[in-house]
Amino acid sequence: MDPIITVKNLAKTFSLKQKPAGFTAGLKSVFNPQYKEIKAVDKINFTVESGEILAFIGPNGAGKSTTIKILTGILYPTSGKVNVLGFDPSNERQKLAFHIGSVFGQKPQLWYHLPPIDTYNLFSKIYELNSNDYQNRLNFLVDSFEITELLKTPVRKLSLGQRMRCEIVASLLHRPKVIFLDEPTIGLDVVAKRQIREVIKFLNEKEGVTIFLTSHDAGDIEALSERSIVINFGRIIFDDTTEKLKKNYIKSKIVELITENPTKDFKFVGGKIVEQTKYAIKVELDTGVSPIKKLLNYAVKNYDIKDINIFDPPMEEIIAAIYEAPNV
Amino acid sequence: MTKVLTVSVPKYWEVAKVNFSNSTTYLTNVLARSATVVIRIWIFTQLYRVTYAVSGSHVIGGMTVSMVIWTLMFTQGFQTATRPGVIRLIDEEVKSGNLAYSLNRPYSYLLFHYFSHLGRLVPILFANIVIGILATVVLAGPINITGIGILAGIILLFFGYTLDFLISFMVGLTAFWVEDTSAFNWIYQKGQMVFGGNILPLALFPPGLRAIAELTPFSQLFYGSAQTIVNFTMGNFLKFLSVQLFWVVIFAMLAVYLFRKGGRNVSINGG
Repeated sequence: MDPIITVKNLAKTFSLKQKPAGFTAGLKSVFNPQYKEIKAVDKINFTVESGEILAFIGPNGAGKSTTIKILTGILYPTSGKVNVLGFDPSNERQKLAFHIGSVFGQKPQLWYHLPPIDTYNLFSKIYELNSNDYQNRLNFLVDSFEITELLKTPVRKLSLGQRMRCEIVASLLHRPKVIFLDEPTIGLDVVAKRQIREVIKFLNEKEGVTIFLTSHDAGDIEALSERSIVINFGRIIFDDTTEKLKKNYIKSKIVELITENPTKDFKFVGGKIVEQTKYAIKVELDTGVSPIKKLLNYAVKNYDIKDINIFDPPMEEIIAAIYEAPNV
Repeated sequence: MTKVLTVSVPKYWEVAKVNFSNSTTYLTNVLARSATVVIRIWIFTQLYRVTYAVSGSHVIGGMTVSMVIWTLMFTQGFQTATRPGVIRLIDEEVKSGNLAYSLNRPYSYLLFHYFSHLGRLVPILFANIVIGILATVVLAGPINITGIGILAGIILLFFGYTLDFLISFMVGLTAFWVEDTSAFNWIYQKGQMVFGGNILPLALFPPGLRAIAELTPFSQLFYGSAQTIVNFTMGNFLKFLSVQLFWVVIFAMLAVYLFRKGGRNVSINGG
């Protein structure tokens, strides 16, 4: 089967004006501005097959969003070739737009003061949907995403998690073949994150939608994708199964314990204390060596536990682990 | 670059409708803003009554005091309905990165913003004009307005809003190249203040200056329409319409050209 996204030697360079400090230097820069070339994406190559969930991950400023914006035709590449569903996004943006959906986690597409149903009705016209088709599709999505109660509530009154579910529905009304999700779980609490991940899985399994997901939350990747591409400083440094990424590079978890009694005598063997206050302690565990269960058993036995939080390692640590690996 | 002017009427009609609804969300705000016109009309009435009294004439440039006040009410009512301006909206869209959504849809970016603008301004225009008429009748007294004057004024107003949109769209698009569009916005606002008849109707200008002012795009935005409603003559209407259409065509071509050039310059912030 031919890939539905092909990226060959893709590069994107931005020129950033440099502002020197001080009055004289600032004045000089008016007449002789200095620019710095930033390689946001540096000759990357990859393909995506139909029905895949691909995690495109990396720290802030790695080039994830730039790549998505080139794939959706918003940005022009500096060089290289891109093909999405048979279209060249730079030259056929409007044609491509009928077949793709996008959600940019930090940027709302729903009308802020209006209820989501108004935006959905607008999108049905923008995407030139037949009114019966649209109604059936809307009913299906509203049921699937459990947003019946939210449809007529102004967006400004929705919680972030509710809003994200409504945002994703807006991107699915026209039955896109590929959906680009740029940090869809950013800023969400644990429950809302889980809901969004379930929605993404549902889309992929029930509708066969290809998902192109960017995130710097390792939890998103573990929960969703079979394949991961890690990008850093505009270059792909890992392109393989998520299983391999987890096995080799996402080995640790950080467990935070909030206790009723002082933590000063905490003596768990098999974890590294990364932060400790009188009634709270954060322990980093190598889950291959010390399972979380072992730590929790120790904690429950020795302390009155008030709360427990489990965190994934930050993306920067995963990147560092990839760089430190002998084959990179 | 995909087509800029892909025409699909239901699509853009819906865009205008959603923006109309959005504008009416805070109706009290709209009415309160429109009510400020009462203060402006009162100031203009005082100012022009004194001016006319000092000059010793009842009619200057074919206009009585009441006609001047009615013209200013319409000009300002039409102009203030365009706020928040297209310049600010596009500038913000470019700088905030929300352009990612508005570019990534199967519609013409230019027409999307044009119909958004029209949808947004209609409720504000309606409030401005209703409150403005009531206030002007009370403060300056009624004048004789003809049906054909109103019809001709509405035609000129439609093209006036189109021209204002095109110029604002272009100024907003400069955000693709410059960090701050406020300097261009300032020039546009001041051009309107001097040649747009917002404070001083062009009918009161000395003949030479008036002829020049009437050829600028600034006077074609809202003054032409206001003047035609208040003091309709077929000759003036046709003159305004032809100059207005000339500028609409010029700025439409420039706006499309600038958008095509700017599209290659997009460097969305935060991404």
